[in-house]
This record gives sequence, C-alpha cells and structure tokens, in this order.
Amino acid sequence: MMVPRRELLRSSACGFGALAAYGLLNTTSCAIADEAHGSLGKRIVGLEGLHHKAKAKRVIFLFMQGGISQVDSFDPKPILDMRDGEMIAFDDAREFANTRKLGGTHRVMKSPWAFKQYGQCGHWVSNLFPNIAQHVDQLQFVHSMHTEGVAHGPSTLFMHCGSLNTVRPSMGSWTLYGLGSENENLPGFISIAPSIGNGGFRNHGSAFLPARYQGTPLGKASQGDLRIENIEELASSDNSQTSRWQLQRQLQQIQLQRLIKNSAASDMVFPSADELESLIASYELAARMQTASPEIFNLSSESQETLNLYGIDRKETETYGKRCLLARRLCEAGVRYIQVNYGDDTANPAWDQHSNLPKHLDHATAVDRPVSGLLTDLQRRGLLDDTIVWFGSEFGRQPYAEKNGTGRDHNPGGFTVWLAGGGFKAGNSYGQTDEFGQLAIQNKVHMHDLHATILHQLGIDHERLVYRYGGRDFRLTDVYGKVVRDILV
Amino acid sequence: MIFCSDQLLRFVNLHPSGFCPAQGLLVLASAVLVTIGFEDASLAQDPTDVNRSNHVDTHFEKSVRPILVAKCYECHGSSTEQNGGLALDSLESMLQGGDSGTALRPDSLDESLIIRAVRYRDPKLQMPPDGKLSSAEIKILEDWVAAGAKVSSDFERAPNARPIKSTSLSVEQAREHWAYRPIIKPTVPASEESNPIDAWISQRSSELELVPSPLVEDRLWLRRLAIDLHGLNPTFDGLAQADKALSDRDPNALEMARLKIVDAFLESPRYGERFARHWMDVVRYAESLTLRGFILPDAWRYRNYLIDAYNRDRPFDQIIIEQIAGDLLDGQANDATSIQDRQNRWIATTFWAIGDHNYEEQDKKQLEMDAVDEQLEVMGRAFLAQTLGCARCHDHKFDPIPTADYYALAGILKSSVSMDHENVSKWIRMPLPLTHEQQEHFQTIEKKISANKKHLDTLKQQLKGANASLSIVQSSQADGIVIDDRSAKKVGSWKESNSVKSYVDEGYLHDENKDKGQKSVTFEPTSLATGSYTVRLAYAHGDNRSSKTQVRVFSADGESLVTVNQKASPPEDGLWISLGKFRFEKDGAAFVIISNEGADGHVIADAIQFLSESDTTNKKLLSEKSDDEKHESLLQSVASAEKVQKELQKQLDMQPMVQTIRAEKNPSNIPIHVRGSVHRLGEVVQRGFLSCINSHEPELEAQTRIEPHSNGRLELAKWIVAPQNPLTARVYVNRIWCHLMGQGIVTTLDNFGTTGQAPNHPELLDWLASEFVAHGWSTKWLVRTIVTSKAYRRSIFADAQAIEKDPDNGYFARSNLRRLDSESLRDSMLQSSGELRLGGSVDSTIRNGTSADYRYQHENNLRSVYMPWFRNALPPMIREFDGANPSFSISQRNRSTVATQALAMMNNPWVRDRAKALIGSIPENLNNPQDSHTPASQIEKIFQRILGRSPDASEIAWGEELLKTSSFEELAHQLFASIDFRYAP
Repeated sequence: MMVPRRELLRSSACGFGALAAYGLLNTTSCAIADEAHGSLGKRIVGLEGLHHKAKAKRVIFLFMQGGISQVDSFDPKPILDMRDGEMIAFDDAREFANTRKLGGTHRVMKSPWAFKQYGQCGHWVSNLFPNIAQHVDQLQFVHSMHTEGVAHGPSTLFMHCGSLNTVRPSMGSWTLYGLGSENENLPGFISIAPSIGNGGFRNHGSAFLPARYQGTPLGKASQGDLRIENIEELASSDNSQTSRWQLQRQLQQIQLQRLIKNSAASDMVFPSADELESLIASYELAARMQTASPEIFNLSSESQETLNLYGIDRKETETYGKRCLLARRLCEAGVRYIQVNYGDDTANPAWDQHSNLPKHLDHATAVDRPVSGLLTDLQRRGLLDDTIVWFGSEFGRQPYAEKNGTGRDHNPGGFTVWLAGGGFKAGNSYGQTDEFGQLAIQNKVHMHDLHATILHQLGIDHERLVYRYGGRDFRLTDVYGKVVRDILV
Repeated sequence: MIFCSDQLLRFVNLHPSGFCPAQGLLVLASAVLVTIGFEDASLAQDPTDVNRSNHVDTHFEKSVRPILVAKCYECHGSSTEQNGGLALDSLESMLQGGDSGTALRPDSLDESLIIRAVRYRDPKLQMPPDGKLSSAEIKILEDWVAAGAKVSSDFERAPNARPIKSTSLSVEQAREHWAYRPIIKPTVPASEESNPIDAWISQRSSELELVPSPLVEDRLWLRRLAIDLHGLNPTFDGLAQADKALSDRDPNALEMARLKIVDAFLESPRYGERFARHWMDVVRYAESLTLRGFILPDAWRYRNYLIDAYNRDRPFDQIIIEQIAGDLLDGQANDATSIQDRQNRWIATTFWAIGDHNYEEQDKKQLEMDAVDEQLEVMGRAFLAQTLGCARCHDHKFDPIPTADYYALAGILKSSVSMDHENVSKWIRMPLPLTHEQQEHFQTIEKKISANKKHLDTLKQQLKGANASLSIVQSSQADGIVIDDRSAKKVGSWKESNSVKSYVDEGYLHDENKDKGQKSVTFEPTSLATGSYTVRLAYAHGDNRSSKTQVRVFSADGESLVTVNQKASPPEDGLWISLGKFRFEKDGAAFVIISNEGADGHVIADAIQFLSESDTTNKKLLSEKSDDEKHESLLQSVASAEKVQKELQKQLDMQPMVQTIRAEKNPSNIPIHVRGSVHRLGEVVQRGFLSCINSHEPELEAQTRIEPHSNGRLELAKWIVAPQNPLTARVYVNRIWCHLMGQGIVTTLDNFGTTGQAPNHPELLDWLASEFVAHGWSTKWLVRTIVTSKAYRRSIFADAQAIEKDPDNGYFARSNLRRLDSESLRDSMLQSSGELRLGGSVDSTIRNGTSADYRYQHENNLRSVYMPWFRNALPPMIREFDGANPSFSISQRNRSTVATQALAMMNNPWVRDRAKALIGSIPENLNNPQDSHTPASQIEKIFQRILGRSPDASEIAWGEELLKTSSFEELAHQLFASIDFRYAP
C-alpha cells in the first residue's frame, strides 16, 4: 500500500548511497530523514533546540512505579505525628471518582520514618533515602504536583502520554519526534526494564507517530537480563556476522540496480528507488547497532569503584544499580530519552503500599544508592549539566490510613517529584501541599505543566510540537500545560 | 493548523485551558497573575453604559473587588478571556455564570460555585488554579456572598462581551463541500477504453498531458493479484500454471483467460481472509485489552463472520446493518431466518464491543461516555469518514457537525449498555441464539449444575461441621443415652435458637436472660440400666452466657449441684462438659435440672448425655475412628461432586457466547455534555443523525426518525446505508480502491471532511460508488472491476515528466511499488517454507488456560489473520512490520523502514526457523554445500521456492559466494530479507 509521498519522505531514510542519478529526485532526497532525524527532518545537535535554545540534550526518567508516599519521603508534615490516630474528614480522590462525594473521615497515620535536614538548603528527607538525601543541594523538589486519574492504569498512561484513556504517543516519542537522536547506532528512546502492566507498551509507544519514534524496550521489569530484541550481541570481530550483513547488502544492490536498469532501458525512471535506498540504509544502521551494542551493554569495563557507587556490589541494590549505570552509558552514547523503571508487572506495582506501609523501605533501599550513584557519576563526568534527571511516580499517597488499615491509598491531588540537572534550579523547593500533605495548594504543578517544562528545557515549545492525525493536530499536553519558570535557572 | 487550543483562541475567544476534548479535564489557566490596581479595574467598564448610577459600595470596593481583579480577571474577564464561558467582572455575568451554571447564588453560600471553587475542596473545581487564596481572602468572599453580594453600581451590568465567532462550514452550506453532495452517477466519457475506470483516468491523463506508464507483463500482474487479493506471494508452480493459461495469442481469448484467473482468485477462501483483515484494521479488531491483558474470548467469532461475509460476497450494506444493529434485527416478528444467520446478526455487533477501554476508570460516568466516544469515533471513521470526536466538546471547527449532532448520535449509543460496572467494569457477554434442541441441552446442563451445586454445598457444610469437631451432633448417633432439649420438660418460657454452634440436633434453648430463678429445664431418660454413668451437659457457649449456671444431677446418691461457666467453651469436643460420675439405679431417680436461678447471663440448655463405663472406654476410640471414616468419605464425596461440577461447567462453556452491547429497556435522549464534561450537562438532544445530510434530505430524515421507545441503532444502520447518504458508498469504494491501487482516490481514507483531501477523480469515485450500490454492494464486483482495468496493470516505472507533473501519483497514470504488509510477509514466508496451514474452519486460536495476553508466545502456522490478536502481545512479525495498532481504527497501514525491522529479518529466530524448515523440506541432501557438485541447481531451487523465479547470473554468483562460507539455510534466510521477496514492482 502506498502512502502519500510526503509521508514516505518523512518515514524513510536517506544519506546512504547515491540518489543523484534519478533526475528530479535529487532535489527532494536531501529532505529525506534518516532514523536519527526529528520532525522537521533535521537532527538537533548540541543545545541548538527545536524552537529555542535548549538547556538540556536528554532526559533520564527514574520511574518509581506504584506511587511513592510524599509524606514519608520528601514532604514531611509534623501534624501527622501530632494527630496520629485521629479520625478526620478528608476529600478522598477515589471516593470522589466513585461516588462524587467528599469529606469521609479517615484515620490520620504518621510516618514510620524520621526526617532529617540535609545540605545547605536544609531540605528535609526521611530515613527512606539517606543517600539521595546527600544530593539535596542538586535537586529541584516540586511538592505541589497533581495529576489525573485515580487508578494506576489511567494515571500511569497520563504521566507517560498526557492522556488518561485514549491512546496517545508517549513523552519519549514526542521528544524523539521533535529532536531526533544524537546517536546513529542506537535507538533514540530506550525504556529500561519496562512493566507490561498499567498501559504496558503504550507507555513507550508512539501511537499515531511514525513507528521509528517508539521507545525500544531494554529487558523486562520481571527479569534482570538487559538486551534489545533481535540484537545478537557478538563481538565486533565476529566476521561471519559482518559478512552476513555485507552479503545482504550485495543482494539488495543487485535487485535494486536491476529495477533501475530496467526502467532506464525503457527510457523511464523508477520513482520508488528512494524507498529501496532507505531499506538498504536501515540494514546498514542495524548492522552498526549490532556492532555498537556489546560496547554499550557490557558493564564489565567499569571500575569496581563505579560498580560500588551504584550498589552493584550488593544484592539488594544490584538490579536497579545496573539499570542506572546502563542509563549513564546510554546517556554518554547520545540516547535522547532514557527511562529507568523500578516496578513490576502486577496490578499493585512496587510502591503501591495499600497495606503494610513499612514495605516502602524495601523499595527505597533498592533504589536509594543506585540513584545517588547515578547523580554522583553524572556530575563528575560533567553530564548533569545537559541531562535532565526526573525522579517520581504516577501519583502520591494519602496522609491517612486506607480503610483504617496499615497502608495508604493513591493520591493524585498532591505529591512530590524532584528534578536534577538540565537547567533546573538546585537545592530548591517549589510548591506546597496542605498541612496534612494531601492536596497541592500553592504553586500547583499539573503533570501537563511538568511535561511542558521538561520539553521547554529541551528546546521544545510544547504548544508547537504537533502532529496531525485524523484531521486534527495533537500534542503531548493536549490543550493544557504551562512552563513552570520558577523552577528553572 | 488544526488544533483545538488555537482554534479556541482564534475563533471562540477561549483560553486554551478550556475543557479538553479527550478527557474533560479541569482547566489550568495560565501562570502569571497580573496584579492590576483598583484604578485599572475601572478601565474595564463600558463607557457606553449610560444608565448606571453612581452608587459605590465601600466594602465591595475595598475588600472584594481587589481580590477579583488580582486573582480572577486574567481568565474570567469579559475583556480578557472568558474561560469556561465565565466572566466575573460584573454581577450580571456572575449570576449568568458559565458552562457549569451560575457562579453566584446570593441566597446560598454552599451552592455558589465561586465560593466552592476558592474553598479548594472539590478536586475538580479549584480556583485560582495556581494556588489557594489565603484564608482571609476566602473569608472576605464568603462574607460578601453571605451578606447578599452587594456591589457598586458600575459592577452590576456586564460590559459588552465580544461576539463568539465560528468558522466552520454551516449545516446549511454543507453541500458546498463535495463529500456532502448526493452521489449522482456520472456519464462515462466516450473513449476506446472498455473499462470505465480507464476511460476516466485516460481522459484526465490526456488533459494533464501525463504519459501513462506501459502495461506490465502478466507475471507481474499475477504477482500483484496474489498479493492484493490473497496477501501471499505467488508460488513458482502457481505462476507456471498461469503462464500456460495465458499462452493464447488471441487477444480476446487472452482477456477471457485473465478474467478466469481473477475469478479463481476471488473464489479462493484466501480472498476472504485477506479482505476481512483490511476491515479488521478499521474496526480495531483485537482479542484482548491493553488493560491488564484481559482476554476477549468471543471476539474470534466476529473475525470468522467477516471472513465468511467476504468469501460469500454478502452485500456490504447488510454487513453494515448487522454490525450496527444485528441484535435488534434478531427476534423480530415472523423471523424465519436460520439459526446460523441469527447468530451472525449478534456476532456482527461485536463491532461495538471490542474497544480498548480503560474499564478500571473509577469515574464510571466518564468511562461510559469515553466508551460511547470511542464507538462514535470508530463508526464515524469506518462508515462515514467523519471525525465526529471533534464535536464532543464544541461544534466541529471545520466540518458542519454541531455538538448537538454528536449528542444526538451519542444518545443512540447510550441507549445500549456496553459494560456492567464493578471496580474493573466488565464487557457484555451474551449467549448466542440456538436451536430448540441445543437450547434444551444447555438448559439441562444448567439445571444439573445448580442441583449439583446444592449437593456440593450440603457436603461442604457437613465437612465444615465435621472439621469443627462435630459442631452439630445428632442425638441418635451419639454415644450413650442423649436427651435433647426437645424431649426435656420446660418450666417458664425458653427460646429456641441455633445461632451458635455447636449443639445437639436442631439447636438449644435459652432463657432470654429474663425471670431469673423462675425457669428450668428437666432432662430425664426414659430408662436407665443400673450402673455408673458419666453425665455430660451440652451447651453453646458465648460471652453473653451465664458464668454460673446451676445444674442439678439427681442420682441414686441424691442431688448434686454443679455450677457451669457457660461463657467458656465446653472442654470436650467443643460441645460437652462433664458434670461428674454418678450412680443410677433402674427406676430410681435419674434426671438433670438446669435452672436460671442465680444466673448472671443467658442460661443455655441443650442436651444431657449419660455415658456408661463401657461407653466411656470405647468412646474416644470409636468416635475418633468413626469421625475419621466419616471425614474421609465426606472428602471423597466432595471431590467427586466437584469433579462433576467441573465437567458440567466445561459442557456449559461450550455454549456459544457473543461479545456485544445490550439494548437498554428504556432508551432515551441525552443532554449535551458541556465541553465534553460528564458532570456538566446542558440541553437534552433528540436522538438523530448528521444534520449536514438530513437537513438537505427531508425524506431520509422522515424515514429514519427515532421513536421515543426505539433503541435507535436500527435507524442509525438504515440511515448509514440509505441511498441518500452521500458518504457511505463513497467511503467504502475508496477503501477498496486504496487496497488495490496503493492509495485512495481520496487519499485521506477516513477523513472526507473539509480538512481531508478532495478527490482528483471525483467522477470516477462517484461512478464506482453508484455502480457498487447498483451491483448490490458486491465487494467482489468492485475488486474484479478494478483489477481488470489497465490502470491496475500499469508499470511502476514512469516517464520523467509524468513524475514531475504528478509526483504523488494522484491521477493513477502509473502504479505504486507494492510492499508485503506484515501479514503477507509472515504468511509468504510460511508458504515458502512449506509450513503454512490452510483450509478448514478455525475457531479461537488462543491456547487454553490463557488468562492474560502478556508475553503470549505465538506458535501456530495458520494464516496471520487467525492468530490471537493481542493488544499487549501482537505476533512479533506483525508488530515489527507495521501491523495495525489494534487500539485504533486504522484505514491505512504505516509503511516504515526502520533498523529494528532489519534486525528482525536478519536475527529473529522465527525467520531463521523458516529458512531451516524450507531447506529441510527440499528432498535432495543440501545440508553440505561443499559436497554438492552443482550448487547452482540448488541455488535455483531455493530462489524458486522463495522468490517464485529463477536467479539471474549475478544472483547465482552471489549465491555461490555465500555458500563458500555459509549454508543453504543462510542462503534462504538472506532471500527472505531481500528486496524481491518483500517488494513487488
């Protein structure tokens, strides 16, 4: 099936092999984008930005699946200790969605963890994150996050795609669509160990954007093995692999040249030659990816000091430590958008402590050192300046006990994320929740706003990064979102 | 740019933070609060308002107005923006309110939305959006409203607001757009072309001086047919056969031979499998949900329905009607249709039911409307090529589709139920119509199940009883002599109860904790042999019982008083307490009295047991043994009853079910949802159809009017296929044209609105549409007409000038390069390797026991159309090569060329396995090329199997080079990846 020509030009590749022979085609061929290119057919390099000068080139999103409790981590509320156990009327988001009623009474539950002040800025952090706490002077906390949805599925999709129920491209896909990749040998958007639950691949899918903007999964949430599908990790010295790709290229050239020759023989031209050139180019890129991949994925070249920094020397931090270290390597390799997932495939993923809140500690232990190591490592390699690190969940948790039990229910009305690097302020806090830490009330930042702000730092105007589908122009932030300038340097 | 926010800004004077079309979210207004001073505010007054007096309310000016100015006007001012249709710069506009209704109720603080918003307690209504006002400010506003909302006179009347403009084509002017004009069959231009398609195309080509490309040789034409009509590369043998058939030199005979070949293609079941798959893209066919990977176990019936419909070439208008309202056709009076046809009607409605909804959405009203929106979107695209979704929140910005039309249609869908609500709501499954005998068969099974279940429950109850150490004891089965309370003599009023286990026989007595000292129960055995007996009392214990129940035993040795604490659990078997050992003489005193004298709670009287010496010694052993035996046999009974139940359930599961929607008993019209919000309802709209068509077709309007009691879908179906509907036939023939010619006459297959592409060949489109209808909506007629045209046989090579004049090939003077889509690629590889399983009827192909689609391993060698179509786990080759995303209605596949596809072709083990199977199926021993004397002949064979042709000299040389270092298997693998396997000139 033929697609309109303009579409074809956008979705095929160029720059490999000569097209000049085909008369008028050479005028359009330079507009053909290869896979590393973004929406405008150009590849954004450095801090040039798509719409304005950028502060960051790439994003590392540390996704804490399930919902970290803000009042137990970064947003302490002393009143919870003072009024622990009291039954108080709260406006519960789930109750509201189900019944449209507000103000049921719930038992206030204090945090099991003590808070301490850290750094120059004196930000309070609980005992859950003693290592991340050492970095507070590098972090921009946003305490007034709020989002849509009450259940994991909708809220997780909203965080990734800016939409609750309808299928939309994910943020990484939009980013890649806007900027292209800095790397010609690797996918530009990689999601490490993604969950198959709660939207699954939609969370790194490209929906109606061309397929080359979709995220490439690297490993699975449920297993430690980290690899890209269909890449055979052979040493670059393996001749049989190299010759396989060379043989394929020869065969493709034989067949393409025959078509061109036949058209010329009858005094005509072959207008689809560029599509087949793209095909050949895609095989060349694949061959390069295959060669580059062992280099990237082999962590054994890292020093023991670095491995320890990420906690790879300890059982409890090994899994997420490896993911974080890989993220740094991908970052160095020029991958545009890297998501490092901490979660699982269940309906109550990881941080989802509806009961047994103390279990938060297991998860905190698993990520605290690796994340802290990543920050240290990015900093000392000078990568933090132009990399945005985003740490957060799809929503937060309630300051009271769920059903009078031992855990906390979902809370989309107020929660905390933090950002580091990429032109975000350091050692700064923005926004507030109410005295119980439940609802964002001051300098509120909606998930759409966070999306808009991150895109802004990448040199993208979220209102202008659009794609036409089915007669309408779509964008990540729908018709919402504002850049939160107060958290930017 | 077609963007909601921009349009809102540009044309309706709304801030981008209106209501989101997709989600009905609450607005987030822009960030920076502009602090406007008090004097500035007066500038906003309307100087032309001459009627105002000069009253100044000091409190309002000093305290209230500054808050409004500073915190509200940026988004809610008549001279700035009126978000949500609300302005707060006059009393009049406050009272008038916005989309959500009046903002101010001077008589009711709590119902004043402005107060509600600033209080920040309603998660969906919190203003200002940037942050809560200080409590002092909130108090000022509350007090102001409570005191009657007094204002200065200049604040009373609204300044003149800017008029709201709309740029869309109006309903009245709809026919200015080509797609809304009636289809009138055009006269075929005079020409020497026998096929009217060619008459139009050559007419336009000569007008534009486009040199048409030459016709291709038959072999290329055959390959096109095989790919387009069957979704498979032609085989070497198939091509050779066709060569023979086309060897005739006589042009007429040759044409006849070609027609015969086309008919043979159309008669093959492969045709239906291919064309059904196209339609399955459009109706977002899938067998699971993204959400939690839920399996949709009945969807496959719909797939088979479509394949069968295409193979039998059923009139497509009938297919449309059945998909929209098949369930409503069923059971109409005098319905003499066969069971199979009745089932088909129901199965067709799966069309509505397989949307990828987020059933765990907690706001169920929102979920229902999202589902309706999805259904309308799919229906609009599939049949009408209209983007109806645009009108959910506001009048369509470009097409003549007012919001009222959207809710007129939505009312039709809302008159059927798509799901039953639970935490995770459930889609609708219903049993299919069956023959009388079948129905009886399943009813019998159902009866058996319910009987067996009752039996099972009883057994389980008994088992539970046995486990709780005989919580109910039958006096007749107990050891020794047992006197139950029923046989006892009662003094005073005793109440029967069985609410606390354990007890003997049917229950026990209690004294209602009343009239202490006035009630008693006497247990007396009819006769008792002389001897020594252990006397035991049974009671059901509990916290409200008496802790000092007096029990008197009268024996040969006189009266003994025993006090029993009935709060405590009885120490023996959870039922009995021993009162002691007593000697009794035949005909002597032998009875036990329980009284409520001195009791401090409920006194319980259940039973008394007399155990002789021999009873006592054997008791333990006996009872244990018999308990064990009883227990064992109970366990066995339960197990066998459970087995029966499972077996029966399995039989019942054979009852064919359908995934559908359920017509509501009381269909109704629904209100407009203001800005798409399910919680802001406007005017109720009469159910109906697109007014841009009906307002010009009064007859159609009258024929399809929906009566109040009618569900409406049947009318919708009739309206869609009505001859006066200018869209349906055009949209459908354009789809088929695109599948065969590579692009549509209208290139935007699912957008015939004003933002779509107008056709280059409008007469051709209308001729095809009207002839298609005249030929009884026969898809096969349409396909045959197109593939026998010259246009279909033109070369992909073209005159350089023709390419320059028509770079997009919009006039069809040449052909487009074909590429195997994902299904054709996979199926053709299986065909080459000799593994493709064809024929026979295929039911559900989902492996038994699959409870979620995650990481499903696809294993079968059936055609791709029959593979489990899982939203979280599409078959890898399908996912990799631009298979349609089954969450959307897809009219045309993407055609991406990316490195991950190259990696899949070269490295995916599945591809490697096909190469292996192919080589294994070639009889000669080809496994060791070095030993073979004529590798060239083997190379030739492999080329024939995969590419349907022999290699040329350069390819043989290439093959020989490859074989120096690699195997035949690798050769086959490389051919699968090559251009000539995947692309057809």
